[in-house]
Amino acid sequence: MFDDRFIAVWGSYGAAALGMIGALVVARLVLNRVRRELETLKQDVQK
Amino acid sequence: MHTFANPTRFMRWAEASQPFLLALGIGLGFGGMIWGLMVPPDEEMQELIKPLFVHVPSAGLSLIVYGSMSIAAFVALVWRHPLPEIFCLAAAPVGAVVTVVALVTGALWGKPTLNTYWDWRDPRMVLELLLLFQYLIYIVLVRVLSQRDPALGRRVGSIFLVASVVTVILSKFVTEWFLVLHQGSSGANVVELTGRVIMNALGQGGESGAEPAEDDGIAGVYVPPLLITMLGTYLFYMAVGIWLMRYELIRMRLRSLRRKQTAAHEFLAEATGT
Repeated sequence: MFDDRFIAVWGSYGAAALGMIGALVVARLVLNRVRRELETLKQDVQK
Repeated sequence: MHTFANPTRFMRWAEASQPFLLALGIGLGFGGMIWGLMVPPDEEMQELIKPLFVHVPSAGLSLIVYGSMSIAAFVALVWRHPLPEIFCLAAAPVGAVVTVVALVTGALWGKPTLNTYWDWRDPRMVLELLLLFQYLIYIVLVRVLSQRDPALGRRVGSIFLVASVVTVILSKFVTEWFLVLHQGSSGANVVELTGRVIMNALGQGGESGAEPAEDDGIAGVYVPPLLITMLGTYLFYMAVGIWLMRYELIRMRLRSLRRKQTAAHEFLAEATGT
């Protein structure tokens, strides 16, 4: 069932989809980090 | 051009356009992939034509991103503008991801078509791996040097990008210059077939739309899903890149504000004698 042809087709589509999902997740994570940094700075300024 | 060269204006434009680019990218990207899975089998390759719709967009994008980073780095070095440097910082992880996707999809596709996952004697494959290392070297170089001096880190990174663009040029032409396992560039073939598909749609091109091209053999029937996937993938990663550019811009401003805050604290401590 899992011959080279099957792996070539579904593996490559899976890799492409994973790449897109991974990029999206990483972008969200770094943006959340910068938001936290902004919050910290805001609190520092308010002190 | 100058309108977008202003970081504040760029941020405003990026915030407004990013969700649309992302939605369009996801829609067209995944739509094109699904279309690619449903195409009729190729005469020669049968079902193995299908990885074309994910490998070609990622391999092409890996070269486009590095090429555009090198041009931006050159602009940053000559005109000393921060926005091209921020573009490079944001585009590097995106480029690294698409290069990994290109390498993985290429290896998986290579096993049944070229009878091997990898061949060190094939310059196109080796150059793609080298490109991944170049993305990683750039990221590490800038991060490490930026701990001492962010401006120096970005400038050294820009010099590295300009100097290493030769990999992109070689990757583009190596399939024409050398005898390689990897097939020739699909770019010119896709452009030619796109022209034929458009002419057919306009009713001026006879019935040649589904005919294979002379050399590479990508039939016209595969061009629309390929173009849709390429467009979707490029828009998607552009949207992610804009997100990361916003992140780099905010981080740069945060760093500057922190420096000012520290200087203000030091001044107050000195002035009040505490």
